[in-house]
Amino acid sequence: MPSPRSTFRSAAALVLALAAWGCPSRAWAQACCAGGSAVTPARLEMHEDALVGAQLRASSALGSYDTGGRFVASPPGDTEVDFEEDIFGAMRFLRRGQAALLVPLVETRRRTPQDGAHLGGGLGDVNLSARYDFVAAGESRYLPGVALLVGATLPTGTPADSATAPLAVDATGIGAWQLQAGLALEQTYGRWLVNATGIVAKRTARFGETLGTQGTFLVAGAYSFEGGGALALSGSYAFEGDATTGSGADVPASSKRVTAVTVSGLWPLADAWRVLGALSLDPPIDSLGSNQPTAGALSFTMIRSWW
Amino acid sequence: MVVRAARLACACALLSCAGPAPRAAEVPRVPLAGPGGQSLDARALAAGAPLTVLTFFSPDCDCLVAHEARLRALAGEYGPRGVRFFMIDSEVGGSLERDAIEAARRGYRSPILLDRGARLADALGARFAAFTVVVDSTGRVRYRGGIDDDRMHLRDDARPYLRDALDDLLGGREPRVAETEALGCALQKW
Repeated sequence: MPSPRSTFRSAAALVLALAAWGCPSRAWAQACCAGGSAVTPARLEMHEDALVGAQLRASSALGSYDTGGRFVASPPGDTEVDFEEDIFGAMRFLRRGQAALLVPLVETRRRTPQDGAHLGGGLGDVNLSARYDFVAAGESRYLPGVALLVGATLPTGTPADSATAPLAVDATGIGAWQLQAGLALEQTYGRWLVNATGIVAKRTARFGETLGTQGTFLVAGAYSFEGGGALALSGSYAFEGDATTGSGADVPASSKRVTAVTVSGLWPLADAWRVLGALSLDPPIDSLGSNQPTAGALSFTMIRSWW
Repeated sequence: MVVRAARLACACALLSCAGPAPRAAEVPRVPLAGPGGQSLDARALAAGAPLTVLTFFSPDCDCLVAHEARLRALAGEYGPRGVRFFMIDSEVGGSLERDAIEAARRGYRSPILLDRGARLADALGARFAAFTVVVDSTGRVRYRGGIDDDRMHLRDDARPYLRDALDDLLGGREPRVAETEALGCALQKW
């Protein structure tokens, strides 16, 4: 039985986007340049007014956590490889705000000994987000950067319940609107940058039930090198409560959680061009997740910016 | 505790809504500290030469580091023509000791002057490292903005804003571009 598509996938992408967008501004910007960008692939850097980018991501399923939090490796012969191509853009509005759009294309290849291999995919859930920085990182020695985050993820993908292909390989979304709000704190210490972000997401009903409220926390540290490169290490923890039926009853054992660790690096090719790479892993360790598939992923991103 | 938090929130809100920083047309009479604690008046500093170039400094700013060679070249070229170059440290973490170490480490020919309380930076509207102003002997600001239009990766065909302004002013003309964007790191002023 194939693992269902993670309901945290779009949330994780959103966290990375929202956590990152916002520091740069003509008027207010972080003390140094690239640390925040290394934490996420889609970050406007200082002085930038707009950017567009593309991210290629490939991940391989490692197994899953059962409802008790025990990691169970994928059965022999079962494989799942997911690909994602994201196109994104961000633009500044007002002095301290910025808005972004992310359009994902998702492909899944699953193979089981019984059903063979199948490949499918399509448009994923499109995300719109905005960020407003009250104080930017590095602007004050004593007060960290403080930003308000809001977002909406549209059900533009195909949910697993509507998938028609064998092994549901054409599932590309969760089938519900998601509204997110969050708070990001960020500070620079010389060449170091520390980020802590929390986001809460509410989802609308779909197929007679409503997914539980989702919370995601991200903590990251990054180091910027002379010349503009940066390395970052981040960890995220996402959880959601039980889903509820149309009558308001809890759906037993539907809550879930997952932990992820990401190492990422940024290299600027020129002032207006940069590339990023990231390696992320949902550690296959008992109690770091429940009721969720786990994966290791590799991503590559290229960004063009304007100021 | 609650009062302090409320004050902080108000400060953030005010900061968030504040418009562009004020930008004085002339260098104000504010004190700057030089090597050994020597006190200098910013206006008097400008009076000592036909043109004075003030560039705002931050030790961890790669954008400024990238431009140091160009600044040294400009100082070498325009110094003999009477133009003086100074770095200004307006950051809250700045100190005479830090500035002396950084100036020596970076091979600056002129000292880094300490702008305690960021009074000069605030008056001139300096918010980023590498922000540069050119002041004439009367203290009037004749150019403000970037050294050029590069951020960190220097190009041979960058627009040399500061060089152009110096050429124009030394030639008795108004700068062809009197104000540009400074692509540097945020100055940590509070």
